[in-house]
Amino acid sequence: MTHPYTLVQSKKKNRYFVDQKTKKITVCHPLLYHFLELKKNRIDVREWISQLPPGGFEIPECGTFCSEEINYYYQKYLFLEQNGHFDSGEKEELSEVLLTADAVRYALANTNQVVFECTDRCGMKCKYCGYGEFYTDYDSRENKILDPETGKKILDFMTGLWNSPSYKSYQNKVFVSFYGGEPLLNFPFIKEIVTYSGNLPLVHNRIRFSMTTNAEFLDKYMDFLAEHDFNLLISLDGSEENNSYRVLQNGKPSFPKVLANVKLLQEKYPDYFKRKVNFNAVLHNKNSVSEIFHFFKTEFDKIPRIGALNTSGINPEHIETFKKTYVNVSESLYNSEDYSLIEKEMFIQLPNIQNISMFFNQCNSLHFNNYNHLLTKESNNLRFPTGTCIPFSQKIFITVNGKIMACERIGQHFGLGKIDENGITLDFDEIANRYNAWWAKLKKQCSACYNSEHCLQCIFYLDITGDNPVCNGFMTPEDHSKHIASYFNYLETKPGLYDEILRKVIIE
Amino acid sequence: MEKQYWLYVESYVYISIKKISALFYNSYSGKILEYLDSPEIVELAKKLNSTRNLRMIKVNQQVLNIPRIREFINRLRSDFMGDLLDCDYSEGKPVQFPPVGKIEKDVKYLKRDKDRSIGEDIMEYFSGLTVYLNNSCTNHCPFCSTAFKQFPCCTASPKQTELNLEQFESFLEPVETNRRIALTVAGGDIFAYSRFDALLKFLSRLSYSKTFLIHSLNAFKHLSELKMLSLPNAALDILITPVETETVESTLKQVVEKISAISIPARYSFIIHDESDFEKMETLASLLSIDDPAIHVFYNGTNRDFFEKYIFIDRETIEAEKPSLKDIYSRQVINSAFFGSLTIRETGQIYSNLNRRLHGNIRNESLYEVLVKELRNGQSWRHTRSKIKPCKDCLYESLCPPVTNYNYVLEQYNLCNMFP
Repeated sequence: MTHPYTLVQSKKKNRYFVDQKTKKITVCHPLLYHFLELKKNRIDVREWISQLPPGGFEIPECGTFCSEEINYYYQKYLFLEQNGHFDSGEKEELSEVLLTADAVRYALANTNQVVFECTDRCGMKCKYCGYGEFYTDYDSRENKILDPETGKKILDFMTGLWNSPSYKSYQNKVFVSFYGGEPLLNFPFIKEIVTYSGNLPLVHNRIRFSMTTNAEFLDKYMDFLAEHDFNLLISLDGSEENNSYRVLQNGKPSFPKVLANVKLLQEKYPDYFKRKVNFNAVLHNKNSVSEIFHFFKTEFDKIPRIGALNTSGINPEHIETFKKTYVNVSESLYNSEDYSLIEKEMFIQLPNIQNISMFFNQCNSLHFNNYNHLLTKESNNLRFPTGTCIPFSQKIFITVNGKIMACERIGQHFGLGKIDENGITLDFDEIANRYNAWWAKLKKQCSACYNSEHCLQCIFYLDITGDNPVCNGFMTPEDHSKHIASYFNYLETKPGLYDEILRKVIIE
Repeated sequence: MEKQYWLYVESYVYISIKKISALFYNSYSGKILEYLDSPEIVELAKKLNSTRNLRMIKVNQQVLNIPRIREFINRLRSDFMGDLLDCDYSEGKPVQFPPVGKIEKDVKYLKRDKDRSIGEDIMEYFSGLTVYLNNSCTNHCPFCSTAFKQFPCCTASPKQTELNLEQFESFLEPVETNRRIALTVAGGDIFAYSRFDALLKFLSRLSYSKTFLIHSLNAFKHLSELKMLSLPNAALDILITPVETETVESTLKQVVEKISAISIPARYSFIIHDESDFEKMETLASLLSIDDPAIHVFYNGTNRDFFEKYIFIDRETIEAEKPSLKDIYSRQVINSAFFGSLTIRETGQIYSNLNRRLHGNIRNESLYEVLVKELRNGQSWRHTRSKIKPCKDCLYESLCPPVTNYNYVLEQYNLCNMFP
């Protein structure tokens, strides 16, 4: 089997060899690096050495190397090669790994989150809303609410799976989550589901609750939320100016009402607020990472999550406005005057730290998910193509229209099943076949992509329903080398980061 | 200006430091560099091993002129364990990725996070089970009362007890029937188990691999019944004591022929305790055409010399074994010899290891509870040399194989010639 390796030269002109598949990374002496370049260009290194003039070999900016040095690094090159470092510069075809119905069922039985779209109603009309004018990939909003009986049927179904031998954990927490629209506009549903969840005959796990809310109606329901210890994620973009895209249905700013409600919650339930309340801010052209950070730090002593606008499913009619509104989180961070402070405080909440943390894990041959991986051979760790999650491995999402989906953050035309008066329809074989068919469309690109081993691209953010979807994350050898170099550049300027990430970042 | 260099150690090299001694192990070649009582080298090793330094430190000509350091660096370079890079080759410090082990679902992380549970993925860890059906047997083997604590072996006792089959079935209820669990069925004489037919019916529904552990004398006694063990994924492990070759030969011959005729995969395990046993075993295996016999060395309390000769490990053993970095890390966090396995005695008592504390009884403990208890307290699955003396003070702590039952039975952890 062959696999590609990447040669990287950092901004500081250090040289590295990286093979993400075998997780072998080596800092290279200039001579070793030169041999690897020769090998990549299909030049026989031994023959090349035999033809060198007696005066040695000069590498610009590094000097001239004598035959003794050349021979030493050739021996080292052979030693590393014998130990699987650089088998070939060729890219291999992606292994055929197919999703099975059993794998989908197992993922669902072990899912830790059930998310209900309680309603498609909302008291706000945010300019960039995922169900608003920028996007086309959602079911039409018709002021619907989810019926508690539907929620109960789903929970009964999940209880059966959670109590089955397919469930692999014990005393684990599973979340029942409420999403919208604005979920508090269907409070009867929430109340009934919370009560019902408390009486489920669960054997192996315990239920917790979570909710994403715009906080417009928080004053009415905060007692209930605090009493049931909800994990609360409040959507707020920063100060009044920062938050000006978040307006009420009548066009008036939502900020005064929301701020007052959140302050009331903090005052009335200080301990709950400290433990369970977090904020999610959307970055756009009316705020910045720095402004968002300082607002939440000052007002609530909280570190918010900051996300960029979703770039998939954009309505072509509004593409120009979207482009003006969109801001990249890393760019905004780097433009901050107090960039170092923000990075230190926000740390893993920032996408650049998340990315480098992911890279470290991918390159650390001793990084494992659980103990079992210590006992298996690396060759057994085949992965599914792209960075798409196995359906239901993270959560199950029920829309207000009864669609069953793998995630709330993807277009609603990707329903995998349904719940209606006839019960739950989930065909695991069909789901597996659909995923395999989608992956098959990308196989050629994935096989040629130099980042395929560590791809994070979710297929639902591509035009996967078309015949020839184009992957936004595709990398040529050159792209990949630049991509990897950016991590080395970062680490060379902040060498303490490796240690800090290893100590602080735990992936659930 | 004085010349400066980046000194680094390769990421495939394992560094062990204890007090004023250090060891560098090349996981590719198996080569070990050992520096005992070497404060200068230990100081360098500590700096190189620090994740904050990313295995890369700056040294100047003055440092390189110190003979011991010069010699150390030369050895590192000649074994391709590290190198010097002229600082002029680049405009700043290069980086290495030190091999730092991390398990996201490590018990230490799960314990400290209130929102998580030690039970995460717990059922995936359950991979092996030995069940004793009874303790009745008419043979009078000399090793009967002790060998089963050293290696897979039957055992009998005058106080007759049998496994409660319903409790056993109920204990395994949470396990998917299609899981790959290695089940070993032992006794006593398993054929004397009063519920044997019902047990086989139950086992036939499971896709576990099933190994029936049978003493050769019992196999001989039940020749005609061996066929009933032909379940899916079943195999036999026939235990043999090569006492007097002639007496064993005639009975064993018939056992081997019978097993061959009914086509059940079988392993023949010889229990030996000295060199003469070993010779008898070779003769017997050759006479009966037994390929690749398994050998269980039995410690009888008087054959320590035999153990020292054949079981003790030394530095050459490790260099020849060439443990990978993954093996080394695994030895730091789990005991791979025991991880995932449980034993149920005929009384229903549950152990993660028969030499360790009792976990409970299938009568009143669920499988989940037992698994969580074992993972939490780590008395067997996570019993590593880092937790025991003298191993935890030894440079070879993580290079040595995991703690075994021999360590428990001999009450000595350093069955080695490195930290005698």
